Amino acid sequence: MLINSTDPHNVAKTIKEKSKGRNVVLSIPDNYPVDVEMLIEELNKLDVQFMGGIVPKIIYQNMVLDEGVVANFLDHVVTQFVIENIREKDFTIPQIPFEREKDYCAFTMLDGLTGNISHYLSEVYRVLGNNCLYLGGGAGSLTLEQKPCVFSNEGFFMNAAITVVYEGSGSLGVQHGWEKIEGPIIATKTDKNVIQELNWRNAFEVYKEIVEADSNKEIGKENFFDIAKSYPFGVVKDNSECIVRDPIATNEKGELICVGEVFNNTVVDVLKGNRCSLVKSAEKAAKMAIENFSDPRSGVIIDCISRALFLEEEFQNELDTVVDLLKEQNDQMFIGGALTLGEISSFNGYLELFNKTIVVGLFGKK
Amino acid sequence: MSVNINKHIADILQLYEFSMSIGKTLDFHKNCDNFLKLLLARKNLSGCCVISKEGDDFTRSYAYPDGLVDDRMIEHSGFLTDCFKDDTIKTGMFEDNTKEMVSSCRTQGSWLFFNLKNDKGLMLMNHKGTPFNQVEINQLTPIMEKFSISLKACESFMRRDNLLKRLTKQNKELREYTQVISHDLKSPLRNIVTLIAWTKEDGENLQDDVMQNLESIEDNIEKMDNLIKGLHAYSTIDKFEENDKEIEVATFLDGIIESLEVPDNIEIMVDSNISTLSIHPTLFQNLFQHLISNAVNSIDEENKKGKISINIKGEETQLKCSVQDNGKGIPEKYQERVFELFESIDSKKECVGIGLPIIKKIIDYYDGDLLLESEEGKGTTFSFSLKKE
Repeated sequence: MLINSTDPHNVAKTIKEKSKGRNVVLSIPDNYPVDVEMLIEELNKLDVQFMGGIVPKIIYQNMVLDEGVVANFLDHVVTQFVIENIREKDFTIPQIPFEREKDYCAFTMLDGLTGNISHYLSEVYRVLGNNCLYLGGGAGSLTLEQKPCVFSNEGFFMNAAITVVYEGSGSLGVQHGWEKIEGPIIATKTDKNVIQELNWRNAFEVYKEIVEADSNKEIGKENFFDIAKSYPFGVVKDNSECIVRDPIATNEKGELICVGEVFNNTVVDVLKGNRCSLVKSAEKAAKMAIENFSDPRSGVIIDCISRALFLEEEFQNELDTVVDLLKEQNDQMFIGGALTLGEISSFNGYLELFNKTIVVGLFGKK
Repeated sequence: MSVNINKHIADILQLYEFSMSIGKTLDFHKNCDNFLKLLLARKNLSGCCVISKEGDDFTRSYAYPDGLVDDRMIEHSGFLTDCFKDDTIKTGMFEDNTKEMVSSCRTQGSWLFFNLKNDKGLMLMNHKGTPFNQVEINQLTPIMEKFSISLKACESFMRRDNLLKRLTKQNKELREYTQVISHDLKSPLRNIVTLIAWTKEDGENLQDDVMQNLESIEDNIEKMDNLIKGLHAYSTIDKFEENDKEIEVATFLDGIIESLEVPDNIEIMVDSNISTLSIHPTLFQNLFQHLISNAVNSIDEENKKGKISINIKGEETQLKCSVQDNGKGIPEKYQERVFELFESIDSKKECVGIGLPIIKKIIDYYDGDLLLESEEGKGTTFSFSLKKE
């Protein structure tokens, strides 16, 4: 559901009325003037179990909004846990007693601007395994200024991740539509989310040669983001689309700073998008999700904010295409979601963080 | 048939990526993590497990995710025994008999088994159900050979590391034990000495033979005290936690000579071409104290002209020393035995048969050589070298 009040008391009261004892996942746009600390207090007073994130924008049905609170209600929650300081790599994911006969989903909201996100996801997968269908996204502000952005009954956090595990069936479709223009090349020296060398040379020099040859534009520190948003890296994988890594800045040393980790010796391509291929990929993602789930009750769309920035007016077309396809399955279906800083899914088996990607999830009873 | 060069290059570079992830650490678990998590991510697989074969049983050495298989899989050894049967690579789809192997996770899909040799195997799982194709199996085979070698290296390192830890612990225990034994044995000795002293003080009219017996008891106690001190010194030679220190050779040797009761008829001469030396002070003291003491004891007290020559020569990589006396010498038949514990050719209370074994142990500790030259009635020379670190 979409709640359009900025009064924490009213928002909490509405959620309480609709929740009927269920847990709730909340998505709030970064610019929406609701006091999150107060909202947490109000929800705790009403004994509502919740988690949520502050995201660049929210999705409700086929609308992208800067205002309102999207609430997704979850039945049969098994557990919800907050892991603070995921940047530090020193944490323990709680064990969960799964039952073989049941299906489970795990939804994660994490600080999209923190470090070691891939490590967190790999630890979640280490403990929860392929018992769950995974979905989620990176919260945070589009200004890229890091601040508290995920919350639950336990508080309002930055550098943290919140995961809720619940009984339920679903299916996922994940696509990005970016196409290779150069590669493969090797990220021969990296440090977490910073690429220092490509093919044993200064990373920016190599990237600049490739991008300038294609765009006929000169790329420097000042206009880096404007041009680089159209030329992400793709981590090469077998038999599926690559994993996109978004370079968002360069520094004096000529290093490239990305959203999400790039490990030493990763084989990457340089990609380029065109509006048509991106919208087509969103359609494909929706079809993939539909293909494996006949009777969905609700849909979740986690789409990358940088796709929206790249597609501009065309983004509405992407969203309409996806929502229309989903509604064909069930026109009463609730569709909520968010534009995020990094997308999370286990679409290919292994749990990974994606960039510039759309993740479509369908949920209900099998 | 068209050849997709780019695809081939990508495949080759993927091998490079896999290869570079192997052997970055000698920690078994981290080594598996580095390679296998990458393999799962790049090949879109859902899980993997390194299985160890111990006799007819199988244990899980590594699994990702953790709950993929039980720690022990004895009951399901039929399937795994077949997997381990020879070096061939096995693959298949999960069926009812194989599903039981997996404890908590879903087991739809396909599996691929590499025999890593050394009684280890790697099971890869793809829960999406796509069978593994021959090209990717061929591509992975050489990588698995490298992975197998790296696991062997990790295990060897782990064994060596465990052994080292055990040795360190045992050494610590032995040192504590020696200290306790030394303290506990010395304590009743001190009591006996006190009791004898009181008896002698209180019983002024004691018969001569009783007095003689008491003095004999005192001599034996002193001998036992020397024995305990010697044993303690012997057992702690290579277990000191002290570091090497710079010492002034002449001053240090003077201190040792002063601490010994050297009769007036014995002259000790020191000749050294070095003024300072970086060495373990306690060991250096023990070494020369026993050598000089040994030389002093070998010179008959009535010998008017006892001579002991100490020579120290510092060379680039070693220290060459000798201690020469003009004492009674060591009979040839005893020359090999004198370095064994409690082998004494002298009945003096100071000679408990532990000084020369201590000297030998210290020289061995410094990876040095020891030479004994002796002629009955003419004297003895102990020459030795100590390697500089």
